[in-house]
Amino acid sequence: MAQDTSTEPVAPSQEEIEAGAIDMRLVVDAIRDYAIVLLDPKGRVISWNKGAERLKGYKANEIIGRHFSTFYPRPEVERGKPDLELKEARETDRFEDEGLRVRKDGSQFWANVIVTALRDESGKLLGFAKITRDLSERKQMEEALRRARAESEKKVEERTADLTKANEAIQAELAARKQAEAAIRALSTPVLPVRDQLLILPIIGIIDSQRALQLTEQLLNSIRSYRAKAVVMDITGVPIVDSKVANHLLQTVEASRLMGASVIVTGLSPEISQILVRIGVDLSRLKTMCDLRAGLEEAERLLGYTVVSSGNQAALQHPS
Amino acid sequence: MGVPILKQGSCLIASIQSTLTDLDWRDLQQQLLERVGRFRSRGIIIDVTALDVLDSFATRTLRSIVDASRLRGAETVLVGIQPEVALAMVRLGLTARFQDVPTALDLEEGVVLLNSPGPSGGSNGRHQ
Repeated sequence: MAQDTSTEPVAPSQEEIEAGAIDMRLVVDAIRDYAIVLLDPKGRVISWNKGAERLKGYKANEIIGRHFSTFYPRPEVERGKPDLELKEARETDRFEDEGLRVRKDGSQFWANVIVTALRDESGKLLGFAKITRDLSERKQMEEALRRARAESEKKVEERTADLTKANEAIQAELAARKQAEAAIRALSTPVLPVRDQLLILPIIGIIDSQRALQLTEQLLNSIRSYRAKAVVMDITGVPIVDSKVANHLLQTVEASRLMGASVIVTGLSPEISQILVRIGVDLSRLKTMCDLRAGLEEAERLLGYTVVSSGNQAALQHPS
Repeated sequence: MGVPILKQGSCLIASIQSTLTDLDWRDLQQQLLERVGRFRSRGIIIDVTALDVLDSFATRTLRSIVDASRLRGAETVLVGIQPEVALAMVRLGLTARFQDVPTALDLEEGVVLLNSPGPSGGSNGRHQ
């Protein structure tokens, strides 16, 4: 295979200068970024440019005459890759490949190779032109990019997992809190039957729309269950009454009336009374008494109850 | 689908069994007013216990039954409004229509209300 023909790159002859081939030769030889190499039809190197020397490490006199499979990694040579490429170039006149190539010092690099068949006018194969480009730098950048992307993706994944966990914790706490609130709401508006047909509804705490709705539902259902005709709704324990709350209370009163029950509202503080007047709530539809006791007495009167002292006070101190 | 109207003394009792179409409501109004004249009734009880919806048309018709029968000397009591219906009416703002209409929890209470003299018990609208 290898014939050592020890030829330096030849200076152009007189005919060649005249033929104008000198220009291309100079160009090819001078290019350092691409390895431009001529192969004979069997694949042996017959010309070598500066780029080839730089890329693959061989000086011209070291490589000319040797087969181009020298540049391939051993396993690929054994698989017959170089011959296959040559065959394809022969058949289709062009072959392109990206793959590993081997330098003179044994180091490998990633290359882009184009092999072009050279023919004369009659179509006879004269040899091949092989242009090789070093892709190492590009490959390195691609690899660095890939690694950076993989790392940032991993970071995003970790962060997402953290956030998901935190979110789940928050959701769990919200759910627990909602449950607690519902429990408190249920407990905080008890409807108490105190006499036949008479209910007391003491309200304590802030009333928002949700609570007002729940309150009203509870009251209306109780009116039906206890067949109540009168309700004393005490708001002593309600700290704030604005127009929204006032409307809620009015709605409760109206709904109760539709079910045949009268509502007496008690426990309006002086401040709340002034607020209601200032807001302009329609108070003509509202029956009120100053406190629970007065409300109870009025309700009893409406229902036809009369409370009379029997004169016999039981011994309250000692259990009988 | 006709609403059964029973006569009990000087009272007419209309018990609505299921959802009424607009036509059915109109028909009920006609029947009641006709009977008030025929039997010279003094009171009407309309029982809506079976209804889970009282829409705007229904409330309007009930209103005109109350007004028209009043003109003919009969007082109407509305009984059996369910909690959900009451709530819905409040939210839709339809309660103003019944401000002066006496209401009661059910038929039994409605009869008591009708028979009770003037300003005692219950939620007779005029005393609020």
